[in-house]
Amino acid sequence: MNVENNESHDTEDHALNEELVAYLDGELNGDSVSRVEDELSKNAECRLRLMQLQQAWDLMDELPRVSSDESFTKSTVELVVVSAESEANATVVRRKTWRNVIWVIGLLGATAAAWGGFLLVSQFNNRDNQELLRDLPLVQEIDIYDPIESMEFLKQLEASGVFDEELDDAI
Amino acid sequence: MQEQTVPNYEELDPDVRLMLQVRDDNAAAFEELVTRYQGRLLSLFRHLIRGRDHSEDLAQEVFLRIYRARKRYVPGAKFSTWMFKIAHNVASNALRSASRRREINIVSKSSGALPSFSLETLAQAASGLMPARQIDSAERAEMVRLAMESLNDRQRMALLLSKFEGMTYADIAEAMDLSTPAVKSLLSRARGNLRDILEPYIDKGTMDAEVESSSHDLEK
Repeated sequence: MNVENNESHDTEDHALNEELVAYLDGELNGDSVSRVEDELSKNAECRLRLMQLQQAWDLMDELPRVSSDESFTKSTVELVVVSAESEANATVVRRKTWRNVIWVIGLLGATAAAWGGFLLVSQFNNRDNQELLRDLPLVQEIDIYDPIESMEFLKQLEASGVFDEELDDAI
Repeated sequence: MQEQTVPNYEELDPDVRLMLQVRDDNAAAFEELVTRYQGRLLSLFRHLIRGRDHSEDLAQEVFLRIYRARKRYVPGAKFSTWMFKIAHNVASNALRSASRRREINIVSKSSGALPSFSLETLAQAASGLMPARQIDSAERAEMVRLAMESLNDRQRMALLLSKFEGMTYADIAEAMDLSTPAVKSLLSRARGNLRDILEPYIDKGTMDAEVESSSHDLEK
């Protein structure tokens, strides 16, 4: 029970603190200002807390304020200039590198395309060559086959077994 | 229904106009921005993170980031709000690194609760300063510095932006990437903690000042 009471008290305490601080900072709207001022007029403890909050706030003016000098401005600007220059150089190097990479990729691509074309052409050439090789025996004996005008007649001759007799005689 | 108009920051904020010139690679405009804001940034970092050299490095890091971002700059807020947003990011990174390295002696807490050892330290310090002695400015500054160090990083940042930059809750929210109610709560806890720590000091300081003032009057 005591713990709950304490927690409830802390919550109310914090809520009041929030209102008082926001009031001092000019962050409350019209209705809230009226409510706080009404409370302040009736509650001495509230007024004391407000005064202490303000005094602690005013004490922050004791903290030293730093004034900078020209040398700091100069060194800051120099630092930025150096940084900007090194960034610019890094950009140039990056661009050159990318250009080189693109060039190499292009070269490789062209080489690959050339090889691909060569292989394709070779494939067709080989097919033609193989056909020629297959027909070579015919070509070699073209004088013999030339008088035969019809393929049908040649097939009939083969079917009749004439070529087989010739082959046996040859062996 | 009224439409919310987006403020024209280029018209309203002279520093936004300067930054737009920086965007167009105007070196003099950049130098002017550095001159205008370097002191404020140095103070902010000095009170956030101890160590003079470190605060200078951090301030320069902010200006470097501003310069690098110049081509992408679009005025969607006051220039100072945008700049302090960058400063907040730089500070957060530095504090994170510091807590990992444990090289910088910062009292940093994740919750708003006051650590008992720092309360005890401060109470001892306060009691040592108070009785029968005039509290001078240097001692007051030291007390306030110690009190600030007992706050967590976010409370300290919000307090400094509110106090020394006069930023509204909305601007602080923008800079710290929080909601406005979150900033309200954060500042409430920060100022409440500050008040709690400095309460004995405030009362005694006020009383001593009044006593001193009245004794001067008597002598006349």
